[in-house]
Amino acid sequence: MKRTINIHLGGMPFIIDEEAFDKLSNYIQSLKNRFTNEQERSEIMSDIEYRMAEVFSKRLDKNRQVVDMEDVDFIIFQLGKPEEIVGDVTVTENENQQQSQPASNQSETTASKNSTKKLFRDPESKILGGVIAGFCHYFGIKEALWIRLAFVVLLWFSFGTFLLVYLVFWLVIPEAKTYADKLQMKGEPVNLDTIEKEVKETLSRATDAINKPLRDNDLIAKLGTLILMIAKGFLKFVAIIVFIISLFILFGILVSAAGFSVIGLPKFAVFTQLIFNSHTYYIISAIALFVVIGVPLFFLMYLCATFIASSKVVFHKKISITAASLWVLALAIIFYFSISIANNFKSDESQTEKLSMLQPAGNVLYVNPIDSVQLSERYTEVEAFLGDIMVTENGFLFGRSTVKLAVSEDSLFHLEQTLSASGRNRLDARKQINLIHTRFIQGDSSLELSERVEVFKNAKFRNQDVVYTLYVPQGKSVKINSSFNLDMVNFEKEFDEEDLSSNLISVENGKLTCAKCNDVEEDTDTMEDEEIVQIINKDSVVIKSSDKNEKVNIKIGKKVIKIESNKNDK
Amino acid sequence: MDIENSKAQMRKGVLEFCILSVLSGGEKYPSDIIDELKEAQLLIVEGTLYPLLTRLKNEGLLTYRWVESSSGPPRKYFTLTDSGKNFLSELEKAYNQLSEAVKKILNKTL
Repeated sequence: MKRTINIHLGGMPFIIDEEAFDKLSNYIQSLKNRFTNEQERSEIMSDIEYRMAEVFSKRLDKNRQVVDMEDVDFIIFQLGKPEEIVGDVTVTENENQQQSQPASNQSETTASKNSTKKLFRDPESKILGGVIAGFCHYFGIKEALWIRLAFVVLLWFSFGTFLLVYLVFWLVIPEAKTYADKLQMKGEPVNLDTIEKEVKETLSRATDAINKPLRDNDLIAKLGTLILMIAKGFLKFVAIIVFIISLFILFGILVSAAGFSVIGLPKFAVFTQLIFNSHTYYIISAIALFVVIGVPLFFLMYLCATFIASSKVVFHKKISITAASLWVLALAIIFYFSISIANNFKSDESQTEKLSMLQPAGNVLYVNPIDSVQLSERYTEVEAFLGDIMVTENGFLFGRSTVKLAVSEDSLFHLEQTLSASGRNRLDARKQINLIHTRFIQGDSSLELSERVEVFKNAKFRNQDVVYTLYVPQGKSVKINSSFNLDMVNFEKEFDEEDLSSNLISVENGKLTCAKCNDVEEDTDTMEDEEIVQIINKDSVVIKSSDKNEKVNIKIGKKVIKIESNKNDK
Repeated sequence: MDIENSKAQMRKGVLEFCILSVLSGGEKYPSDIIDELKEAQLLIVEGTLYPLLTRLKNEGLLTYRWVESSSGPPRKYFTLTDSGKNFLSELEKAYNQLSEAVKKILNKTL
């Protein structure tokens, strides 16, 4: 018993058995593939179908009403296999082409003969979507089981991220539907013999499957398509959101860049001059930075858009290559500028100079910043202000000067200043040092120093730093204003910075100390000495705590809580 | 040199000429043409004929009309057009010249 299918060829109805139908439809399909000329193809195919109908109707009669394999074999023998026809057809086509185009006629025929492997999802040996089975065909792996196991392990370790990867592959990779697809999936050449082999294999598998109940398969398939639809919808939703977010970021960058170039650029330009050798370099690297950020965003948007439009992620070759090369170029520019800027900081130099100062009238020397009124006089117009850097007409100010205290070897105060800067080389670094500007003004019992690092105009930012070293004699005190960084290297012990700025610092017994400051050191000492031990036994918990003065043991048993205390009287 | 290929090329060259010649005898439908060509052992597979007929028709050398058939599907009956007849006579001249030339050469060598 065989199942039959109703078909019509050339306007005539025929009954054909299933096996013969498969072979015939594949034969027709392979003929279609051989006639490359689109215009002529449909006409040729209909002529061929008429011929088939004629032959079949001649072969059939009252006793034999079903077209079978023998008839199909006969018609294929009569009309010829596609390969046999192709040889003749392409020769005539080539002759036609040769009149206009002498070259480039062989390529097409040879290309069509070459079999190339293509990535398809395999619906026959699938568990879920046939993605892994497809990949196994593609990479020539015979046993898909191990790959599946590896996938499950990966799924576990990646917290399910690979499920998303799988879904994306499910969406993007087409299913092998026709026999030609299946052959391409397996990397076999597509011709009539291989198709016939494939058809027979499929049929034998199908008859095997008939013996099993089909319902479960149906249900799984339906569930599969349902999940696929949901996943597709979800991914589209995600794609839309990603698209919108990217759009907003891109738009935001563009708007702020445009706004900045109109409003902020003239002022900001002064800052860029501190780092970049020229303003053009800054503009170039700003654009490069925009490209480095913008191109991936733009590309992401583009991919999302193609996915939203066609349910497939389409990589347009030209766009991808352009975007990638633009991105690499921009990255290279940024890299180049980063290196050339970093080069400016290669060498460090410092220069120490003794400053002659008057001895204060009293025992206490007050170190204060140079009067802010005078500062604003000097810097008549503050051009820009950004963070800690201040740009003025005459130069720029940044950071804090450091005051370092030390014990004087004689009975006098001494002042030293150390200027340091970086540069391309030692010479350049020294040049930068010479552009640092320091001032100090002395009063009866006060010393006014520039509390910020000041650099003349035309200097670049090169890590400039100013350290004032003040030598304090025995028995004298200083009070350092909080505007300065205070270096506590030479202090007797650690003090709190806030305490130091509000109290006198004096030299006693050849050591820098702060009598009224809280003793930070001692607090930490007691903390370090304290020791708490917890012992958790089967039926008791013991907590032992000890410090310099006291030892406390607490034991919590099942019935009794014991507290012991020993004072250390040493 | 592939002998089959050479044969096919030779056959190919005269196949169009032969189809036109067959049709010069009057209106015919593909099956008739196939039979005649097969008889002359010019055609090995029928599939080759259909693309040729379509091409000749598209070039205006042939024309056809549908004719009902009692036993099967309707048939396309092909005839030569005027330009087809001219084309055929040109081909005939060329073929005769060629055939003479080939004969001469063959006779000399034999």
